[in-house]
Amino acid sequence: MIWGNRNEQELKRHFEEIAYQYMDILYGTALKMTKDPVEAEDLVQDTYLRAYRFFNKFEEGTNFKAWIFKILTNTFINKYRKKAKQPHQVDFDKVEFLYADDQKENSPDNVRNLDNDIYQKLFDDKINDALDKLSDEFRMVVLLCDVHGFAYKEISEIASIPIGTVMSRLSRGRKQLQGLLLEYAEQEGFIKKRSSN
Amino acid sequence: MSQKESSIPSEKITAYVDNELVEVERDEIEARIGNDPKLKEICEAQKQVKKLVKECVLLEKAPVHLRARIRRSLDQAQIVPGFLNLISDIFRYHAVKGLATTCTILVLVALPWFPAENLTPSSDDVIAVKLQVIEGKLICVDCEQLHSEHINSVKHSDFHRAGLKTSDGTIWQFLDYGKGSELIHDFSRLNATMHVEGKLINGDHTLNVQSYQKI
Ligand SMILES: [Zn+2]
Repeated sequence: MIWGNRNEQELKRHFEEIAYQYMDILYGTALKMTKDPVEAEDLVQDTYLRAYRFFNKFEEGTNFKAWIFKILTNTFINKYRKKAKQPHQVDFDKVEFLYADDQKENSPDNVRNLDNDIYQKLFDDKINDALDKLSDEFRMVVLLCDVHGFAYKEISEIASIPIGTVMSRLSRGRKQLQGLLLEYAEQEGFIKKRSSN
Repeated sequence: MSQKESSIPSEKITAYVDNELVEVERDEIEARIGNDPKLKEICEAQKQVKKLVKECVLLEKAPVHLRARIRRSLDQAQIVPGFLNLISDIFRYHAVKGLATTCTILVLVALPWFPAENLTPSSDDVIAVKLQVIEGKLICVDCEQLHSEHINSVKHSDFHRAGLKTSDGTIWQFLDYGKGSELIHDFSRLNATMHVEGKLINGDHTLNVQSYQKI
């Protein structure tokens, strides 16, 4: 038990020792979620204050990173999401064509076009734009899984959603990303150029 | 195209890409990929998206002043264990919005001004909290959902996470806090029929459990 007989100063130092190493990734994630540097700072500060307040609930030896991400996520959902600007809503009907459950829509030609060397050329920026266009729910699980490398079980705890929901959000989130990336590739003429080779 | 291929839910392909399937299931998908170029392409495409996100999404570092700012705010903060529940309530429920329809019995806990520095809630944090009473069977929310989507093979660590399934099929989750933690993590009660009373969170079929009783 962390609370034990430590005094407040010791507890604070102990907290800082454990918690401050995550400041960069918490801020980076907060910025991706709020899309606003001022709100991202506020969100990270709120997260640390709350984490500190609930530090006695944290069981030493368990996953602090997942724990503080959970606080970040809850804080974002409860306090910041309603303020966040609405992103351009993606026309999901249009972009969700690649892994469509109906196999007839799964055109092998389109799938084949998702080739790394095409995408690498334009996607350093575009992938970030595309990620911004996802809804908060999808963007969060994609970040947690693909950027931070959390396992499904951890994401499920962090975002307080069942594992099945983690999977379906990831699946749909990636599907939408793929659609958006294909759109970009088409706009930039990469797909056409490649087909003519 | 084979029937087999279209029978693989996209969630399962995702779980495969993330290496979250148990060995048997993973082997099965790999065997199918061997005979099915289109399935292979679908998996590869998703792997590419995952890889691109991993490599191209760069997280900005925290500005240098943030650490000092947080340290200052922590210095002003005091942990008072007795207040934890109250603080918890304020911050977990100030966003409560749409309220579900089941047996609503009690209305409105107006929280008083709370004298805590940076975490002081503003006036719109004063909240109306409704207590819900639900009755149903205690189930594992993860098992239940994986089962209903016919994905029985995703790794589901060593422990379940209990929730309540009501007679209309709604699955309620509990906040992992206080009484809710007792319910979530004690699997000995799984499959029991329970009355659970708690505060509704976010209209999202999640309860902060105040009390429960086995029927
Ligand atoms: Zn389970």
